[in-house]
Amino acid sequence: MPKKPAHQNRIEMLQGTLDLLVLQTLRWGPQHGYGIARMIQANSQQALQVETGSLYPALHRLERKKFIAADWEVSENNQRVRVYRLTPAGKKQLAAEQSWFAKFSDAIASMAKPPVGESDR
Amino acid sequence: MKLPWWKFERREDELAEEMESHLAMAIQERVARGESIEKATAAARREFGNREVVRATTREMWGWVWLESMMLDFRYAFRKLREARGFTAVATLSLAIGIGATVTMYAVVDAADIRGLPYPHADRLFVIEQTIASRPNPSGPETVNASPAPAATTAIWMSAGHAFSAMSRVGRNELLWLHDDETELLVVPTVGPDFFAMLGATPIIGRTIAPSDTNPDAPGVIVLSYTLWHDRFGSDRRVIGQRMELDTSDAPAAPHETYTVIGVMPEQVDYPAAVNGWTANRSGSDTWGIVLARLAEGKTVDAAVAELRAVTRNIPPPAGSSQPPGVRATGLRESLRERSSGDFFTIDSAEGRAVRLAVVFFVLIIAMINVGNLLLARSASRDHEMVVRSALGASRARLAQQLIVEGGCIALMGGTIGVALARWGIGLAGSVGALRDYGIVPVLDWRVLAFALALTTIVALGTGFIPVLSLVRAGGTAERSESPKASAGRARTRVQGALLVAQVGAALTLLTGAGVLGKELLRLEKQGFGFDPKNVIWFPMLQRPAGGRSVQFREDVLFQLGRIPGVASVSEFEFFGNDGFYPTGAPGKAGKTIFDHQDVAISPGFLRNLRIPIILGRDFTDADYASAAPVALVSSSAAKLFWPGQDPLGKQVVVPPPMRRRGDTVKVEPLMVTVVGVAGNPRFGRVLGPPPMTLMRPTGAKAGFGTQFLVRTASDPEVTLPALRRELNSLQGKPLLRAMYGTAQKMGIDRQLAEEKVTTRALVAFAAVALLLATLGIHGLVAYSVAQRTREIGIRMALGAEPKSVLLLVTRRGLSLAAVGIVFGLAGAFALSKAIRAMLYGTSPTDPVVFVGSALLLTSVVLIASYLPARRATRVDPMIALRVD
Repeated sequence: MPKKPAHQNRIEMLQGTLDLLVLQTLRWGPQHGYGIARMIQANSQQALQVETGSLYPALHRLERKKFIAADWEVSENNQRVRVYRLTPAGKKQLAAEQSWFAKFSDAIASMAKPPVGESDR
Repeated sequence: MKLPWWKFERREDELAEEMESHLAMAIQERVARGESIEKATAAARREFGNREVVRATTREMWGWVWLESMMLDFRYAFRKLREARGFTAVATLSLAIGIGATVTMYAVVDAADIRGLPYPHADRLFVIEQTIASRPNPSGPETVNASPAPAATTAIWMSAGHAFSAMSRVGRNELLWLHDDETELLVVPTVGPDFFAMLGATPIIGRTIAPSDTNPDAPGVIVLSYTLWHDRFGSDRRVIGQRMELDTSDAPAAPHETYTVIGVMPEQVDYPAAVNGWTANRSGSDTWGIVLARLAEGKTVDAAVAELRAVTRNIPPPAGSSQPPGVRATGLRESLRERSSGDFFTIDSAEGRAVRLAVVFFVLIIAMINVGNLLLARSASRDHEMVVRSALGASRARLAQQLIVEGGCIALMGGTIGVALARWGIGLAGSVGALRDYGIVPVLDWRVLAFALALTTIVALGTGFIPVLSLVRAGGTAERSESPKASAGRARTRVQGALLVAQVGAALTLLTGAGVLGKELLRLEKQGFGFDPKNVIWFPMLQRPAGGRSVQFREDVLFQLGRIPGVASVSEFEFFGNDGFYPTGAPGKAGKTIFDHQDVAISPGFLRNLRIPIILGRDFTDADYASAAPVALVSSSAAKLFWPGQDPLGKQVVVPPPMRRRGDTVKVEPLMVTVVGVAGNPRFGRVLGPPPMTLMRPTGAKAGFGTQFLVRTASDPEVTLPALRRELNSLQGKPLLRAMYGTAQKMGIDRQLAEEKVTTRALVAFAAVALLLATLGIHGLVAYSVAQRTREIGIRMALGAEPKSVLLLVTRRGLSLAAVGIVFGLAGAFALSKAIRAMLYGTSPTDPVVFVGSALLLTSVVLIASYLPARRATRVDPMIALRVD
């Protein structure tokens, strides 16, 4: 699948972080796919763009791993929607991914900072 | 979460709906922000991306794509197979025969050697016998024979044994049951009250034998076996308390005794083997019997035997031996498996069964190769399809999966039919006498079905894998610059060549094996009992009136029987029990076991009656009978063994005294008889095996036991049988024994040859299938080569090539492959001959006629199969040929 060029002001999703974001979003309550995408976008001040081509595979993958569960519900607009919610196993996974992400972002941050008064080794 | 495939369509719809709802919400939001419907729809669609791609990538997360594609493969494969019915039938049938035969043989092995005995803790059950050291021939070596212990010894064992927690004597007992105008022989061993508890067997209805039933004056009771209850009482649960008139065959003028049915045992309880029931051991007398014992918890069998040896040491040495008897304990399973005679490599031995299982498995592998080759040949027409699919991005694994599924379909159908065949085969195997006598009853239970399933899976993978070989090779060369189609063709040609060699070889191997076994079967059927059995009715004397052992009585019977209308001739013979006979001065020439010897007395006219030829010398004269002269006839087998290259007439044979009964005080000297003639090789019982040595003496004052009458009727024996029955009824006071009458053909030859027949027929079927497949293979190869080279042939013909050279050109490859196959096939035939040697007694396993004949047959088939398509090549019109393509 050809990749679209990244939006100027938007950050392309890092592999593996999408799962974390989905789980994080569902912490606030059950939500359908479109809602999840919108919330990620809104919570990151439009910085994070979720492709549907990545979102749905991620949702179904998480569902298969039993981290989230899905039910059909009817939305306010009388629309049948598939709503995802966090399972107990998903909550545990979220905690694990959060600590992993903390370490990961620290590591990236320390490497990405311009070296201060230090020559390359 | 793996979804079951049947939820596939629903899930697919749900995914589509989920996508639609996503889009709808995106559009609604844009419209709410003030965009026009058209603009909003277009923007939402653009943002969403390619819906098909999103769906496909999402679907992959479900984890059962492989299953979906396999379902498609199965549907596709079945459609393809339906189109090629002839191919499917041949392939399915050859696998079915292979699987059916293997499953049948496995069921036999399972019943005999693998499955546990149906008794709890059967590993602690032992058969205890006494061993006696003696010298059967004065100058021969000392031999140790195990035999049932007398009742007195058993009593000592029972009072002394602590390491054996329980012990019971199982006495041989055969009673005649008179019912509905018929006499039936029932095998009803006598047992003690501990017997059933020791086996851990409880009756399905009624009770077992109680201690009070074994009092000498207790009324007769019988526990029925499941089979007898089922066959003769129609599984009637009200059978308890019913009366049966039973009668021993030996006691003169024994009154019928009434036995009361007290219980019925479940089907799996059948000890020792093929019994009809059990009666109480009331007499404590020395009937032939064995002692069954259960080893106490925590004791070893060696310690238990040592304990019994200690108490047996005080018993005086039995007759004919200088030492007190020893003790031998055999595990129950081994004792059931012990063969009657050591020199047969038959189905009733574990080795014999293993060899048979190996042979059928070998045949199954050949069937697999054949079917794989057929699949391979078919795949030739699908090169194009494979190449196109490969180019469209189908992975090699995906293509391989489809080929394996096709093989799997055939194997699945073959397995199903194979199990049906096995059901039939297992029933047949169960009726083979040698197995039944040892209580081996093969059944088609879940264990055997599990084996069939595993076998079918292996066959499915194996069969499907062969065409994959060519696929993999083709893939391997795909990186090179040549066209994938050409390289696939070359890889297949190599695999096909190898398989053709295997096919021709297998066909020849099986043809030879089937030929040798078939020749042996014909020989056995011709040999039979060594006499002309047509219209002969053979029956034992059931009971003599008091003093009935006299010559006079037997002569009366013969006279009366001879007077019945329709009877052509009558004669009688009887067995002598002894340790075997040997020529004077050479006791070592006696056979190894007592079963090799037949020492019989024959009545006047016996040889003529049975049409046994006299090869040398003369038959007995009236004077011989009148004076009870010490003369004898020997079978040609005995003459050949005793006096190789010498004139047997006038030679002397030593007949040791008959086995002494307890209480016999008169010492009998060995008898010397002079050979006056050499006759053929009659067999009074077993058809298989090497010919027994027979010594025939004139009937005289001293009777043997087991008198047998042989009546030859002038026409159909069935016509004479009613009159014969009436006459016998008045002579011996009992109707004719149901189990024993019949023509000699019915009496046992068919039953004894059942296994040989089944094996031979199976091998003939395999050979026919293999021959057919090899023919198709060669024909296909040559036809393909002709079709491929039409253009070349046309050019050669146009340039003046002779038809002969064209013929050679297209058949050369097929013929040379066939030649290699024939060499391999002959090697295989020699290997197979080693395996089936055990089943042959009178035919050489490398019979030259069969070997040469099979090779010639195969060669001519190969030549015809090559010539027919090749002839087409010589008729190619150069002008048309050059226009091809």
